[in-house]
Amino acid sequence: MNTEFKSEGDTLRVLLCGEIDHHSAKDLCRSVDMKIAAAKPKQVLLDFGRVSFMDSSGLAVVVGRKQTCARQGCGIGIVNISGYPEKILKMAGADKLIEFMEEDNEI
Amino acid sequence: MKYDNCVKMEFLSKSCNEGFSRTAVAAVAAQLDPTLEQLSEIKTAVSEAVTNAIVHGYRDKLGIIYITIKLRGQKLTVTVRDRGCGISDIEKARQPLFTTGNTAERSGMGFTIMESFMDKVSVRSTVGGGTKVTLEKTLSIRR
Repeated sequence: MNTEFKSEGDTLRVLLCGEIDHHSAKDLCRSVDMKIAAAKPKQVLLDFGRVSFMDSSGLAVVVGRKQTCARQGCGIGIVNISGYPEKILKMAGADKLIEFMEEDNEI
Repeated sequence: MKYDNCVKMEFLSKSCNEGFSRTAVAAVAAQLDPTLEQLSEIKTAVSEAVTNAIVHGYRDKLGIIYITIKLRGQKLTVTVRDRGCGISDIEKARQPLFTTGNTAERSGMGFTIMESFMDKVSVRSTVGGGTKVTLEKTLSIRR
């Protein structure tokens, strides 16, 4: 699991790459939280475009980052999610907690 | 012979084996010519069962996880078994959003996901003896 960060003005894009499971989630959460604390963005975008596998650990990642952002006073949204990862998040009602945003031409 | 193919494996309950175990099951399931989406669903369900065995079954210790994969016609049956602490209330464990684990790590959606992605999920458990989760899915023949 590699995570890349891209600053786009006041927005921090978190490019999640690879497999999100119980094994990878812990380090992932830690590195994203550290980056949010350091970059102090106004908005965080969790970009799922390069996620090749995700189980319910992805849900804990999303819900936990929502809490991190709430503590830091910034917004959070999800982009480039489709297929069964989207199904998993919606199954648990994560779409009621965090906005699933549409984007054009973004990977 | 009651089945067309059978693969058994066992491994230590270390989280680094989660990826290996679901990929191995998917490699066997691929013999039934599933769609990519079906393969992803199978991998996810197996990942949930294996993670449960690691996080809940063998909570504070290491143990062995046993997986059996059977193919019969177009039907895939995967059993994930541990000799861990067992589940005292299976009904409760299967409810959405219920977890005895750390909520920052576990969402309590494991069984809900298994049930939604597989045709049938059965659980047998003995407190102190371990848990066996059986996942079944029939893959329709593609044209």
